[in-house]
Amino acid sequence: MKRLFSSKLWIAFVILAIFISGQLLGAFAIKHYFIESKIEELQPSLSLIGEEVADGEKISRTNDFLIKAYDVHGQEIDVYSDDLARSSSDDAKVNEKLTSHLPKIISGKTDAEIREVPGYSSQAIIIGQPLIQDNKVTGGIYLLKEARAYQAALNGFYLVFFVTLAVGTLIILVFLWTFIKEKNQLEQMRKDYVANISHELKSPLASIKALTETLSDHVVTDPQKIDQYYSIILRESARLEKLIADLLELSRLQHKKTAFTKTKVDTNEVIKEVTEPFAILADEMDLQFHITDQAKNLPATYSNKDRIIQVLTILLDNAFKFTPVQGNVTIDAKVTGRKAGIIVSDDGPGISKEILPKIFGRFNKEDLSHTSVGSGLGLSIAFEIMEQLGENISVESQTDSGTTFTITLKRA
Amino acid sequence: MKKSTSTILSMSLASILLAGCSADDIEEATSEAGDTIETTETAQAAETKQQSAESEAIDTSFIANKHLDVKYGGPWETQKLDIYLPNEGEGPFPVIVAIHGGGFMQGDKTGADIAPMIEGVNRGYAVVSVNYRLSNEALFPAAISDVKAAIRHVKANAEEYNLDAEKIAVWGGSAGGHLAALAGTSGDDDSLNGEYTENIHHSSEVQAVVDWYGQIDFLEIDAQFAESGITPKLGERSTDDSPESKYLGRNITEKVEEVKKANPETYITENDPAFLIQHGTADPNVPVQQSVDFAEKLKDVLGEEKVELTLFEGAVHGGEPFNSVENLEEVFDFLDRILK
Repeated sequence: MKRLFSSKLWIAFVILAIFISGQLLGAFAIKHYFIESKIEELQPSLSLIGEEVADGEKISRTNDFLIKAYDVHGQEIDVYSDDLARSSSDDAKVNEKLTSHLPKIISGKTDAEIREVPGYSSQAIIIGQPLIQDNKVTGGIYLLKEARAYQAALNGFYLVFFVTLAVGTLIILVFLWTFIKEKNQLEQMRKDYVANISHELKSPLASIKALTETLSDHVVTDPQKIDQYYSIILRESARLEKLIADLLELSRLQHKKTAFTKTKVDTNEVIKEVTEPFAILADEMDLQFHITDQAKNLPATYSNKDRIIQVLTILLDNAFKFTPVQGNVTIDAKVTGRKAGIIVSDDGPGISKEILPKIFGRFNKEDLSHTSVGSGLGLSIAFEIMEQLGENISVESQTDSGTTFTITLKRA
Repeated sequence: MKKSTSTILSMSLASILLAGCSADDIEEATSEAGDTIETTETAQAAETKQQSAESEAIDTSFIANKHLDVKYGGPWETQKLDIYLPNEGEGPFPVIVAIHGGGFMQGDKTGADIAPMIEGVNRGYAVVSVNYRLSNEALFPAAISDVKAAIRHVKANAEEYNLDAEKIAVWGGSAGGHLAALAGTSGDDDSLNGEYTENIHHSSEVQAVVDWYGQIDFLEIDAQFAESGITPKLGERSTDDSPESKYLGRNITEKVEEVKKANPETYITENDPAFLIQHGTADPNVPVQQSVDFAEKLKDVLGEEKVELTLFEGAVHGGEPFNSVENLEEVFDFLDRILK
């Protein structure tokens, strides 16, 4: 866990570094572009002015930019023909900043940068170059111009960057939150599953064990009772076997290793095959089992025959199990557009509203009395199969008035 | 699990905000004109030219009146000077003491870098070209004490050679510029006289100095190159094998006192001679700022009139703009003003 945490921290730092460097690079690119374009724009006029100043001529003041000139020792040269005084403290600071670049400028390097300049509301671009007269460097001349466009571009960039960043972070947060929630739910489900399964496995085993113990002690002598005990043991063993078989089946389905090869399926054949054993069972159990004409005349579908039989068997099995004597179990069908629906309904006790949404989960048998035969995994298996086939299974139920399951199949 | 994730997220959010603040601090986006490479190339070309020129001896055959290899004091073979007198004129002639360059470790009094000074012979000057002990012979202050001894020798024997002892200029380039400047400011100072005290009753004061791209403050060179954006050709000077370190006998950073003693600025006084300082702005051997700062300090004490500073745009360590006819005209104008 500690290692996991540190590696996550590392990833966070990498992401952070990418964010920061992205921002710095962006700001740098804007600055670079701005300076380059300004040099291109302003240098010719600066060169012209420089020539005039080097010749000792005075220039007239403009609102576009400010010109400052210094001799090689950093003494300011008065370049303007009028003497409009600027606030002297600001001026001294400006002079100090500009003259600190004089060595570079005297060495013949054009210097351009954007920086805070006292007396300017926004940052200013400063372009400096040597003052040259007859090939001799006599000082340095600077052009100062407020860089409002730069400031605006930079602010725009920051705005876009941060909004993007904030939205991105929010999306990631939401995603992570959902992910974690889902994961926690899964975890809880797994825990419940293990608990349920243990319980399901334990109860038949417990009765088998108790009965076997009683029998082996020869305490019971009544042969009728002994036979009854044996039959209970047999029943419980069968239940256990069925339960384990279902578990394996479900696990097999969920590992997606089973072939779900789809072919053209004669749906009527399927209905016939599935209902045959149940028709006999219905007589035995004294139930009314109907197969409607629609169900007998279904179009061909594109699916997996064995799986459909499996699902229908599960549904019919459940219906028969929960329908009381003299009750009705019906297979109906509905054909709409590209889909065919098979409807299995009964008029049993129905499923309560609380349990209905969880009906396809594992061990959500409504009747948890363990007296009924079944593993409680049937609907999970049915759901899993339908999902793998890319089809739907749905349920409708009203307490005391029966349950209806519908599966859809794609028409061939 | 959940906890760690939320910690990471809150951390990254916090740091993003921090990053936002720090981005405002980005400065330094200076762009340079694309001529740097070009400058270096010309610098190298000029240097090779200069070196090959230094190895060649100058042609002094046109000078009729000369005294060669005159010993000026001390037992060393290098402690000699050549005196070239004008072919015409009466005398006593004003004197140009020419000091060769070569980073304190090479060069000769007949080297080609003396040629501009020899031109003085055609303009009524006596030219005295001095050899001094190089850094492989003796350490600081040997070179400057030799130069001062040579000046004293000129003064002591002025009459014999028909020289004007009151009108002496020192002129040198590079290390020679340094020695000229140092001799100029320290003329009234005895601390650099060294062990050979010939003609000690004469001072080594001069009336004019022509300093061509000489180094002034050795310890500032590295920083000034860094500031100017020029790549120094000889590398860092604060290394054991820089010319200046060799001149002082040890790394200049360990010889701070000696560097100060060798700095012409240390000796600036009001009665110092007139200075003409010339330097190329793209000099990759000695930063131009050395001359700029030196000139400023001189001007502060001597006044604007006695100090001239010429910075040649894009010029390097010697070569055309210095030796050009126009510039020699300017230099001799300066000398004429002071010495004639």
